[in-house]
Amino acid sequence: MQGINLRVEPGEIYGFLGPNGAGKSTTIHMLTTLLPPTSGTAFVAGHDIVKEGPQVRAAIGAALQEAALDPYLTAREHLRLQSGLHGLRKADREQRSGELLTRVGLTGAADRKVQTYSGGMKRRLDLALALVHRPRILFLDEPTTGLDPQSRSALWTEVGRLAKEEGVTVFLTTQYLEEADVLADRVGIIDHGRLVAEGTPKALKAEIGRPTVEATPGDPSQVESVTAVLGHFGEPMPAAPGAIAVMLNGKGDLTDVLRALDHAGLRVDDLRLHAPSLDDVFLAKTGRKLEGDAPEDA
Amino acid sequence: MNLALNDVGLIAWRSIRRTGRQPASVIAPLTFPILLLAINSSGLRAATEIPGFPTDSFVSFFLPFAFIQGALFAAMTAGTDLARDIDTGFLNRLALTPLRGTGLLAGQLGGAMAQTLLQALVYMCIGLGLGVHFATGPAGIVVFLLLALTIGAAWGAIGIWIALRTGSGEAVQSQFPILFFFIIISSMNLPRNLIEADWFRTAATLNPVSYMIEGLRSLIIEGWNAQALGLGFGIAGLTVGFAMALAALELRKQMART
Repeated sequence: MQGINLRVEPGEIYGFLGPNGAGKSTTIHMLTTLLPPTSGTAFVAGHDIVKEGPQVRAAIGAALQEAALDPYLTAREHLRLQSGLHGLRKADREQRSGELLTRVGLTGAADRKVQTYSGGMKRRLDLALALVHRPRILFLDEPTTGLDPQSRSALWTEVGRLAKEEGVTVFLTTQYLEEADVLADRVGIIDHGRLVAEGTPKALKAEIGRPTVEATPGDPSQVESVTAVLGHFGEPMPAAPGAIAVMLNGKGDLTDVLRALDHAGLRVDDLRLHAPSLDDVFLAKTGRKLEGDAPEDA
Repeated sequence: MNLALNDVGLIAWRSIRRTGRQPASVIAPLTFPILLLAINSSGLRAATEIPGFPTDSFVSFFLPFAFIQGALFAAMTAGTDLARDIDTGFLNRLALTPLRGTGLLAGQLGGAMAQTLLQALVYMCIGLGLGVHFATGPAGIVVFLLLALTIGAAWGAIGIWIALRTGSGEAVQSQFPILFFFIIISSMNLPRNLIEADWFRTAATLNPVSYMIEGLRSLIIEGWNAQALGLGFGIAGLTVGFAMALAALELRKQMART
């Protein structure tokens, strides 16, 4: 990590976005006191992560990247163990376990060994374990990686509910743009250990600006002509192989582009309007695409 | 104090439950020592004819071996399971709770000792069923189980230390032959004074495992022998202390929370 400086407000969902190896998990491990930082300071729930580790841990819950569960224990046994280690009395352990099992939809599978669970069920149990002691702050390290869309959506709903209804602050790392876009109130984009952009998803997208039009000529011999027509509407941008893209400069919209192409007698196989995405933000800030990026040093 | 005991109890409970749900971790430690007891007691029975052999029952002489080998199995299970916790990140989950390092170590050791005790009771029943007679009477049986449990703790502490040192289940398993070698070059098959080969007798004399076996054996075939018991309990106790101290040092690295 190199000079990251960020602040997360109570009740906020903060999305920490970056490619594999960018330093997201390292940051989470430091903020959750599992990895002592070599320099710098950080306060979590008002406590110094280096000098007040136990107080930090009492205030936080964490579901780390790997859903570290014991395959031979059941969900209920996991919750009993976790709540016991957090000092809950026996009667409270049972009650809290029941509440959390219901909340994450695992009541029916509560007494099955975890080795029989799907990835989504393990993630939901992981989340329940992080909530056992009613933490004020929740750290989630790539909570939906490897999950099917349905499980991902269910987890998003639950995380959103925790923040909105219970005021839990959520610090979430992800490499999924959609996840950050849908879930996070604010996003920090990290690359090579540096925070390259920070703000609400809307503000970040607005910052890099305008929509892009991408056209794929039907006839390869018309590439130059299509490029010339699109050039009237904006500056050239990187595009898919065989396609031409421009970032609109305000002199026209998609309809105008279509009319101009038609007027010039040019045929296109594909014409798309791209609204700015967080991937565009990442591209603008780092010169690289985020999604589909190969792991660097994960 | 109550919280510390709570930690130990919870970790031990988890360890016992997990071990109980892995049939291989239960069946092998119960069958292999008994199998070796049966084979050696039958094949080496003639050793009792050697002048100076302390008993005419090789089963009585060899029974302590089952307890030592069983404790080694329990140690390997405890070590492998702990290494798996490190590998899967479960240790990080525990590190995020108020669990103390000493609670984790004592709980893991408690789990290994519980397994050792269960096995010891089975070996004892089989031994008594085969006609093993304790020269020290019923009180000797109780002391025997206590010593077996202490020896189990010694092996368990070694398993936990290796797990924390290596963080790998495979590495823990790979230590099994080395530790088993220590059992083989002890006085398990013959009293040290009857071992003819000088190098073997020297190795057995230098080998702490010999004194663990001899402490157990003394209760069966000699009667109350303070020196043998002192050495047995002393060496096992020292091993527990030393290995747990090393394990505590390694735990600080593996559980490097602030």
